[in-house]
Parts: sequence; structure tokens; C-alpha cells
Amino acid sequence: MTHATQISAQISASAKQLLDEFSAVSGIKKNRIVEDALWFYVRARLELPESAMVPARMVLAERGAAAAERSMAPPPQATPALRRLMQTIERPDEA
Amino acid sequence: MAEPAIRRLLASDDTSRFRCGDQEYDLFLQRYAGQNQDRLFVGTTYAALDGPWVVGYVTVAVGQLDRDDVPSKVRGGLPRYPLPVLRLARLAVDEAFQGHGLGRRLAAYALAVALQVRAAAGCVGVVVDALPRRVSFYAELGFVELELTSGQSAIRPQPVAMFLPIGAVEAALPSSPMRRGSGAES
Repeated sequence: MTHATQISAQISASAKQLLDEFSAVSGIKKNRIVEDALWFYVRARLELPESAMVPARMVLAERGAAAAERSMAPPPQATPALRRLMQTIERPDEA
Repeated sequence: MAEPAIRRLLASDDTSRFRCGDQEYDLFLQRYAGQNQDRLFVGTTYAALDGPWVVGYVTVAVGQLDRDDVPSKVRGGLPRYPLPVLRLARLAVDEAFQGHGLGRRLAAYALAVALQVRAAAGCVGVVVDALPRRVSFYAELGFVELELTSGQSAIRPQPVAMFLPIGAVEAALPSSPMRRGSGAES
């Protein structure tokens, strides 16, 4: 990296954890991960309109978290409509 | 009308005739779906084909549900770390093929992909960006509305984010032990 400079940014605890863990597992330095990620992100944003992007991170509001938690409470329940939908399930092709 | 086959979108597939009644969805398929999938790796599109022509599609991407902004009193039993999900971002059917169950087949296909993702990399459920007119369809399948503080789709009109736990998908499979003796379906 030539002409390196330093930045400081407030990020979420989970993003910091992701960075730390990925760096530890991959052996790639954190500054390299941040720089590569920025290049990928900005390139994607320049090539795609906002509506074509699918945000990867969704942050739950209080009510959203409660709804997700309720729906994940065991035992898993399938509605009759979901059972009908999955009656003729097709096996996805290998990616 | 023969039943269209569903598989991963290929660069050679003909999307030029696709018209679903919403130009934004047509344009996404024709201009951006392949780019997202094959160059940027930010989403995968599964296409329903009538010969060489795409007549329906569903686009999915991996994502995560995070709870950074949720006060500790409502964190409840969910873990603090991000929860991996499959996001069903777009689903559309060509006007000539609407009303024949193709949309339902594409939705089921996406749920089957979610089961594969769970086995391969982990996935706690599916988040769908449901168009307002389709919210009741997904609610009937068991999806619940999620209130998000960020990460909403930029599609207009603003879709409603809805969540279905992967356990429910598995329980709905014909082979699932959860179905035995239920007698709910014929």
C-alpha cells in the first residue's frame, strides 16, 4: 500500500467482531480487509442503482426482534399453506 | 402450456421478452440480475424457462439479522451475534404465465435453497421483501412482519420485510417427522 493514511470510524460491535474474527481466521490484516471491502462496496454501488442492491445487514428494531424471537420459539410450526406450498418441492440445481 | 423448468440463471438465457407488469422488475432481470450473480457475487437468480426465454425468476442473497440497537430487556433468548438468513429479494412472473402457480413454485424453490444454505453454511430463516399487495400471501405461509431500523430494500413501493424461521420450512416438507399424524393436509 503506497501513501497510506489513517482513518477512524464508529462501527457496530458486531461489525467489529466480524472484522476481528475474519482477520484471525484468514490471517489477513485488518487494514487490508477494510481497504478491500471498501473497494468492493464502492465498485458495486457505482455499477448498480440502489434499488438493485440487496442490503446484506438488517438491523431489527425492538418489535422486529420480538417478532423474530416469537416465530423461532420451538417447536417449529408450519402453516397449512406452507405445507401445501412445499408439497411439490423441487430440488435446487447445484450452484 | 408446458411447466417451465427452474434453474440458476445463465448468461445465455433470453430475458428480452420478460414483462411482469412492473418495469423495475423487468429491468432488474434484464440488466442487473446476471451482473449481481456472475460479476459482483451479491445475489443469485433462479429462472423459470419456457424454451430459451425466462418467464419467471426469484433472486436470493445471503444476509444477516442484527440486533445492535435492541435494548437488552428485549433481547430475550436470541443470541447477540448476527443471525444468518437467506433474503428473498425479488420474485416476478411474466404476464403470460401469471395465474398458473409459477410464482408459488419459485417461492418454494427459494425455500428449498434456504434449506441447502442452512446445511452448507448456516441459516436461521428466510426474509422476504414482500410487496404490499403480497403481504397476505406470505403471512398465510407463516411469515411475520419485521420492523427494521436499517437494511430495508430500496425498491418502491417500499416492500415489507417478513421472516420465516427455517424450522418451519423443514417442518413443512413432505418427509418431515413434524408432519406425521398432523392430518392437516390432503
